[in-house]
Amino acid sequence: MSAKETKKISIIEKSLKLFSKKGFYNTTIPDIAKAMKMSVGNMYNYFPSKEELAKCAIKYSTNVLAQDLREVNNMDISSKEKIYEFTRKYFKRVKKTPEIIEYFLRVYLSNREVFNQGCEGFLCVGEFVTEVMILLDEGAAKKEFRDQDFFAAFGMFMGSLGGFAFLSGEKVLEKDLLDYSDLIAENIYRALKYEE
Amino acid sequence: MRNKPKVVWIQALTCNGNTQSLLSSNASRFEQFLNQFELVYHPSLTHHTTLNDVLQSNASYDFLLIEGALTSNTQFLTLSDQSSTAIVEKLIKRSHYVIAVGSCASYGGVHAKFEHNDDVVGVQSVVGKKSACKSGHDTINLTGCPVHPEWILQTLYTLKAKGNIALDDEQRPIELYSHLAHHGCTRNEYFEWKVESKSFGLKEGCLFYEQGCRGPMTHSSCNKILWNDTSSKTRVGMPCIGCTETDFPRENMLETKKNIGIPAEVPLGISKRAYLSLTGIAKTFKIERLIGKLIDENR
Amino acid sequence: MKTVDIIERIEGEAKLNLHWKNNRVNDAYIEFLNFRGFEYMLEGKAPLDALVYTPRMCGICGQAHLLATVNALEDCYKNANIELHVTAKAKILRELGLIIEIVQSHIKWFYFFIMPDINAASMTPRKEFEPLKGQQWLKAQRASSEITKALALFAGQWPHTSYMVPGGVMCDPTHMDMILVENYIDQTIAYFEKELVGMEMQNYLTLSQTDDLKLLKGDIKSFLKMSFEQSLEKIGQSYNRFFVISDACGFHKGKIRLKNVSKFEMNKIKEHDDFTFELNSKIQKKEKYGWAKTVKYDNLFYETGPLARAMTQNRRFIKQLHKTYDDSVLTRVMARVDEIAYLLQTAKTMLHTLDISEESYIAPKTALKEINSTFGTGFIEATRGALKHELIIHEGKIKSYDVVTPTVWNLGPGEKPDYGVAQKALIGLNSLQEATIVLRSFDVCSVCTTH
Repeated sequence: MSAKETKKISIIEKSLKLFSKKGFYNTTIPDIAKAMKMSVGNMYNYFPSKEELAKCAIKYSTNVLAQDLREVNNMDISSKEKIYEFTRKYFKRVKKTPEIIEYFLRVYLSNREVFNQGCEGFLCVGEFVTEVMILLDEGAAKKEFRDQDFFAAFGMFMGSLGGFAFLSGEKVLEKDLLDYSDLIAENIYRALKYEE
Repeated sequence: MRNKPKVVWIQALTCNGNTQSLLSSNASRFEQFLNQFELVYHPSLTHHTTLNDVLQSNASYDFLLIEGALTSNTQFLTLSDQSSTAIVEKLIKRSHYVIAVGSCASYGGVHAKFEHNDDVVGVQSVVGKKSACKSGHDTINLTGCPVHPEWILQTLYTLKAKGNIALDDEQRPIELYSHLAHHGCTRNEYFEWKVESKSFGLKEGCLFYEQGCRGPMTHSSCNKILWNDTSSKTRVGMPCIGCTETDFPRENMLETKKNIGIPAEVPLGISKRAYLSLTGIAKTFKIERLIGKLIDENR
Repeated sequence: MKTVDIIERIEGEAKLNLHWKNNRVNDAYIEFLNFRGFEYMLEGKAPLDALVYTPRMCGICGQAHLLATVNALEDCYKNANIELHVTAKAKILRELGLIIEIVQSHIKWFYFFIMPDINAASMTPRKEFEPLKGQQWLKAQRASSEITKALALFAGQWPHTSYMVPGGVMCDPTHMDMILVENYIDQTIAYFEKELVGMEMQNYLTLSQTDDLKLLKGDIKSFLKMSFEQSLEKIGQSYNRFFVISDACGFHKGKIRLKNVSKFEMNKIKEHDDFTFELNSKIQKKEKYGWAKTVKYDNLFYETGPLARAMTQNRRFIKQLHKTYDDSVLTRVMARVDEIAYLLQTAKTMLHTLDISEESYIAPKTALKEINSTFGTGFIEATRGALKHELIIHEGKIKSYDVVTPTVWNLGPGEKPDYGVAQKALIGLNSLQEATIVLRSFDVCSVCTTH
């Protein structure tokens, strides 16, 4: 990776933290530059606008999740175990770098106007969606999952995980997030599993 | 090879579709074939020679063409009081080349789906891949249900001129079967941008997504060598049913098999992950020209 | 004395088993010794897969099987009370496909199948009819191959396209495609005029008297000369009962038992297998002598095919020929040739009423595989006559599929004295040569007969 790329990533990581602490609209390019100990002018060498940064940030954060799911998909385990495995990884991710998950939930999903050029549909989250497709397709091909509408399955899968990350962020959970992992995985699996 | 090679055409468990296909070849090409080859025997076409004449003769033949699946089971087929396998076993020794014409002759095809007859096979199962024919040339499979007339003629002319023909893993002439049915399909642009056909009966859209088209995973030159120089199934709107591949006929041929909405099979040689990523991206582009009618009748 | 001969050039082969008494055929059996089991193959398959399977019963009349399947599947919707719309455009494109198939088949049959025998039996055989070499034989191949291109324009290929589907057709041809189709039809009309009858088709279609045979030129003139020389107007008679199962392509559905055309009841069509081999060879009985089944209407044998169609449709020329020469070989051959002209004209009319701005296909509200239980029948006039498909769908799959082909009507077995149609026509003949020509006059298709 080039030095510029490495720098871009550290800007994104820093921005995600700021967005999550102060909110997307309350965080300005000068704020980010300050946190990065860079000049505002220099910042623009990396990202010409905050919208551009926002889009790169969503690609970055979903790619992190895509990477996690790809590792799980490549494991030689049943589709049921894959759901348990990924749920665990996802919740660990929520604990370790909550800003990545929160960015997706609080910024990407609720500020569509920022992303309507070049990030329509699945364009910026494609890698992750592809991995979900691989998970579902393989499960159905092996008759571990029942056949159903893709969006119904995708929505349920992401809704459960995202919704729980939201609860965790709101600090309303009584137990440690990871204590819920198998329960959530079980729910997801039940909604997908094959029925005779 | 003699100046005018001798051709013998035998039929076994068949619908005669490959014969009808041959007869549909362009007249100039068919006449040229009759001028340059001697069609010694064909059950539907020759008048003075019978199958018995051929069986009782000692003559050697340059090309033994077999249409239809073979069976040793005389309950379900006898030809001149013999089983079709017995006939082929006799004739192979007197023939220089053996060509299975059509999917049934190649591997059993549709006829292998009749479960009460447990011996329905292709020619190579009887005579071997390295066949006992006089030239020692491998058994040649011309798959297709039916096979294109030009594929038959071009194979014969090539063997006449060169004495051998390169075959793929399924014993098919490489030059005819290295393309996919997809190559040259007039709906290719719809495939590129993942625009599915909304239903049957439309000029617009690709038939791979819903209608079961096997074009991107079927080896054949259907869209390179057009049927009767005219058209192809996919060009008019009928999905490719993969009739040149050994898994034909499959189940649910007129719909795309999907798992939770995701195509179960993707184009040949492409990983599913790569295909799905590409599809996801391509689908986000809403290309007006490909969404609307190709020809607006009301303009 | 008994003789057993193998008959070829009938899309497969059959064994002709003749018993002779005083040099005449005293008893006759036609044995079909191949069985491919399509009805069994279809059990348990998805209903739409029948569209791929059934054309493959027969490489010669696959379009007819396809249309019979579509009709049967659409009837399944009707019996499940699910509304279905099929546009006039789709219906025309289906029937046009069938017409082209019939026309090219009749041309091939005349030159490749029956003329070689009649020519060989003639005292003055003519070189131009010799298979694979004769000019007229080659021109017939050219004509049949050219008109097949018209079919490829909207069906993709022939044989074995499945472009028809419940709800319509898969194709959506342009004006130019259909003009090209018409060009090929016109080309075939020109061929018919120049080579077959030696007169303009419009004039041909006005012929109405037996005497008008004298006006015919071209290859039909040669055929007639040889036929009278061989007395083909005197042999080949059977029951003189005719059956036409469908109105498609402008034909007239009905039966003729004695003289007049009357309606028939579908449930009186009964198929039986008294003389048909058992799948389980261990329980084979000796009266069973081939794979063909038997079909009768109200317990009577009926002839089906072009002659039957000309009779119920009241096509004057053929009716007059029938009045003069009965259901002889000559009448049967003339009915096939006459049908070429009738169908080419019908095709022209259809092309002129075709409105390509209509929908090609309107998707049924429910997929057949989602219907728990239904049944349907499809009827169509194929090249060789009445074709019936019948199926039951259970839990979204084909539970059973039954096909009654035209050749079962004409060639299905009976036994003395209740002979099948072709069997009866063989009784009393005095040579194998005659028997072969009489048998061929029914346009035998071994593969359809047993399927």
